[in-house]
Amino acid sequence: MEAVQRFFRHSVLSYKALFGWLDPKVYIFVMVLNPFSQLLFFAVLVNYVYGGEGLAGYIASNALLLCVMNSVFGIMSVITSDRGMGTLQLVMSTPSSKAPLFISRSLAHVVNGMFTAVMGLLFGILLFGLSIPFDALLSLLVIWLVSIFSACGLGLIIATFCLWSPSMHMWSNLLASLLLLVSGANYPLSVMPAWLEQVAVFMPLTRGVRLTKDIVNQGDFSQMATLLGQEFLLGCLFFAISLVLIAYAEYLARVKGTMDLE
Amino acid sequence: MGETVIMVSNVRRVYKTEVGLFKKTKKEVEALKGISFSINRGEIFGLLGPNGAGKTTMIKLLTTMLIPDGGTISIMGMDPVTQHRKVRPHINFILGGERNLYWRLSAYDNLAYFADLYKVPRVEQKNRILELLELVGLEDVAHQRVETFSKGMKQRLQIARGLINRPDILFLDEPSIGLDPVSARRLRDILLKLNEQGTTILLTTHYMYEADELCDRIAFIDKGQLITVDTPENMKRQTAGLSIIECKLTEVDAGKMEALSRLPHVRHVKQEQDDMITTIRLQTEMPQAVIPAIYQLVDETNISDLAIMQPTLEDVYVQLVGGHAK
Repeated sequence: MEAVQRFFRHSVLSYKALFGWLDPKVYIFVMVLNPFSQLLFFAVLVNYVYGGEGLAGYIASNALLLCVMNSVFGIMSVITSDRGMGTLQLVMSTPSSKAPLFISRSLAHVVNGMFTAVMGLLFGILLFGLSIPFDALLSLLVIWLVSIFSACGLGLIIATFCLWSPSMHMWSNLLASLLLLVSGANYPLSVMPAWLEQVAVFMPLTRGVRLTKDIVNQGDFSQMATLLGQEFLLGCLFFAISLVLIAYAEYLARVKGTMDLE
Repeated sequence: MGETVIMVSNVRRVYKTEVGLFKKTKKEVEALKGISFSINRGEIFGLLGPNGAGKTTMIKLLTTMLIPDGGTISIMGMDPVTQHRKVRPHINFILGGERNLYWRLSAYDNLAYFADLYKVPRVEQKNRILELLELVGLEDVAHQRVETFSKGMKQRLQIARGLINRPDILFLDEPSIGLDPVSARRLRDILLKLNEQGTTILLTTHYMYEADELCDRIAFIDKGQLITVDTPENMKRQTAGLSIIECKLTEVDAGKMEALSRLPHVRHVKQEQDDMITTIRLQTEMPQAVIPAIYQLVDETNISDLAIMQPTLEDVYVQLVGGHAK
């Protein structure tokens, strides 16, 4: 019980300590207005291109994509902010196990990503007068939770690159663009080059976007169990890889003396 | 003599770096060249040396953050290379400067955060955190964000953080760097109090008076090599027969300084400029012969003060580490 409480306390405190967007004014600008403007841009674009056909599905899947702010930039802060503050070496030198530590740090971003995506959907519903059935909304919450968990896993892998590379902005922007490109939120995956379609199979959010469109536009839940299972396994794989990379970076830092930015 | 808690034997550490994009040039810097010493339980042990001497590397090796390239280290009978998970609950470390804290969290939350990382049971956390905040005099600002703290307050909070797991051994890397005299004095008082409670302390510092006041034993290291290890008292005895002439001058030029350093019987000259006054410290075995020579070289109206003093630890340091500086 003590370990579980510690896990959640660490999640909240590390979010406050490392993410730094708890100032309401900054939060509204960075985590609300910025994602909403992105959603509005794509909603207007797909409305123009497809003449309003399947608009609800496009808006809902773009709302899911708003989680990128947390699953990429938020998760990166789990390592880069710690390193920049000079606290990473202190944290890594404590006796706590690093796997639950980094998973608990990611948890707050999964929750925050969910919040941003749901806010985005409400914004889209109000702005475009959409109607989504209640049972579809409940399914969407589950699909999004798993999708955002998976995206945060990939985000953590990329964040570990920052233990080797000082170019954190390059990595974060590359991943954010890639998630937008191959998610299939704004065009069908079939219009992409074949090799890019293959890349999409191994990326998070792709299945979430597909299920979101299927459920919102056609009320089709038939693929939910299969795709959701795949997305969850992918997320677990991403987290497992990231934890191995963190352990390797820790070892490398002890050999090379490079854990902290001095 | 207490039980040995730290044993360092012939430890070497080399940093390897690569420079260049295509044609890479490998560069090696030998930070530690075979250092050996031991520390007893309950001691305050000082590691002193100039910048780049290898002090921080030594601290990182002892705190499991680095792996040595040669030699062995034992912390309370454990090997920090292979048994780092067992060593970590027994030690903690404090680094100088303002970083190494979460500025967006309050003092209390910073300590609660690290209490969780050191697996301090929740039932003990509150009392322990309040005790530590009281020890470092931050109980009134416990729930204030660290970003509003002065440098001295941040440094004291670091001390509290370093004690959150009640370590048997505390490592401090230049803990008083940048602190004003009052804050530095307060820090020294805290360290002495901790030591009275049984904590073994290893600290690095540039301030000789600090090491002299705090340390039971001191090691001087330079260029990765151990110069000497002894008590401050024994070290000062090495300068037996040596006197320090401290002379305050209102005006002195480079030519006269050069002439002063060439005087017979003068072993070392140190010059410090403070606004309008230049203080020179001459190490000599024959002050009675040197003082008239000073009066001959320098216009006596420029001499505002002159005194013969006993050597301090700083003079021993200069003699052993910076003896070539004359």
